[in-house]
Amino acid sequence: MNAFDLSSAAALTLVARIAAAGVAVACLELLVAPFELKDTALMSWPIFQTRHRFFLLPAVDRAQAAVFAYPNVLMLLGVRFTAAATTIFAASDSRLFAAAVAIVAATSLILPLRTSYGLDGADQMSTTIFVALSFAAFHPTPVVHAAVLWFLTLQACVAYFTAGAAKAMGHHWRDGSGLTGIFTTDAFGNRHLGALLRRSNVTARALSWSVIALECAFPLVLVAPVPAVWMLLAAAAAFHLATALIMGLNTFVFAYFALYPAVLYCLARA
Amino acid sequence: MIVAVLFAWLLLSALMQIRVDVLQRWRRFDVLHLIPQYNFFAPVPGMNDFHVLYRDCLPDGAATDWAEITAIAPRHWWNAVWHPHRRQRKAIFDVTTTFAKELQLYGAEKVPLSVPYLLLLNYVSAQDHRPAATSTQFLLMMSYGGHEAAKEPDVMFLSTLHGLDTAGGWR
Repeated sequence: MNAFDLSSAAALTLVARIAAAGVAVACLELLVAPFELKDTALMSWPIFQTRHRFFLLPAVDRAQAAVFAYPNVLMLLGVRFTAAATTIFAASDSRLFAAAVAIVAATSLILPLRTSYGLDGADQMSTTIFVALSFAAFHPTPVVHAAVLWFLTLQACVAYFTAGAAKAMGHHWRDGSGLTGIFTTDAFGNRHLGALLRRSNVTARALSWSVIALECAFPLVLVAPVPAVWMLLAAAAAFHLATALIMGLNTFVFAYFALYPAVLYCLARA
Repeated sequence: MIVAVLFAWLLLSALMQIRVDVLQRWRRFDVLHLIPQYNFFAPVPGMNDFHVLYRDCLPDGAATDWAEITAIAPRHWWNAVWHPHRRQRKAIFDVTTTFAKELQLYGAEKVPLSVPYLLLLNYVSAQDHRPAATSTQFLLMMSYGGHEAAKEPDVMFLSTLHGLDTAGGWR
């Protein structure tokens, strides 16, 4: 069997299980460090809700407090974790699986209402994936399955291309100083790589342009010959593993790897 | 119907990647964050670390030394899989960069009413204070080059003094 030739059901199941693993890790990370969500932390809900008077209306406030107030929010995260774990282990044609996918989607939509501070691009991609998967879970027709897989593939193309094009428009990325700058920070950097890039601007520029080229080229997966497609996917996967190792962006690996089964399904039919 | 919804969502997602004000203004209606922003670390990457410091004022008018409350925990290889501190790191980045934008937009007089200012004040007020402290203030700083600092840090913002009540909170 051709490795590209995933059935739509198999591709959707893989997407869901890989993305759910990322959601489970993200939930557990918050559950073991719950102080990040306390009222006095930077991810505080009582302060964030002052962003608009609508959220302070008594009825809205009461409804939000039931799920967003600390420690109630830990219950919400517990439900989200359970749903993610169920998505990983339940039979993909069961109602339980569909319900779990829907719960992960619903909690993905709800959580940014509590606070948007501290959320990242992996959370964003997980939301896109699970909302789209919910359509497939509750309307399991071949047309909807195919539409969801094409939607996710094209989102992947938009995501990579935008990231690459935005970098190409920034002079810090074009001359390599941006990458050196990032890698010498405490927040996202790496002591050894930062020192190496600081010594060699040629290396910094080469790495920077490699990232730009890879991200801009990603949409070619839909039209390139098979060996080139595998090279692009392998390079993109290596890029995410490197950012996880160097920058600590661990959940991006799950959120973006989850899109690859959809890409494989679509390119077999492109 | 579902196919049409997905198509519209994809189209909007692609369109909203264009960084022009006339389009980006519509993002405030996207309360569920359904329209992604894919320009990670670009076009201007975050090449600084942000630091929140605070000090207390004592009844005799003296001030305590500045204390930093946002030191980034050193990363380890296992953070490639398991990274519980990343939310705090990202929250510091988000709050300080949003604060800087709001400071530029509204000026120092109005910025104390903004969400990022209130978050910072709330965060600072929850730290340990001297029992006799009457007020506290915070300082935002930006450093360059992290562990290989090539340049002295810059002061981004110094807050006014905020009174502390007996329970240690702000008033």
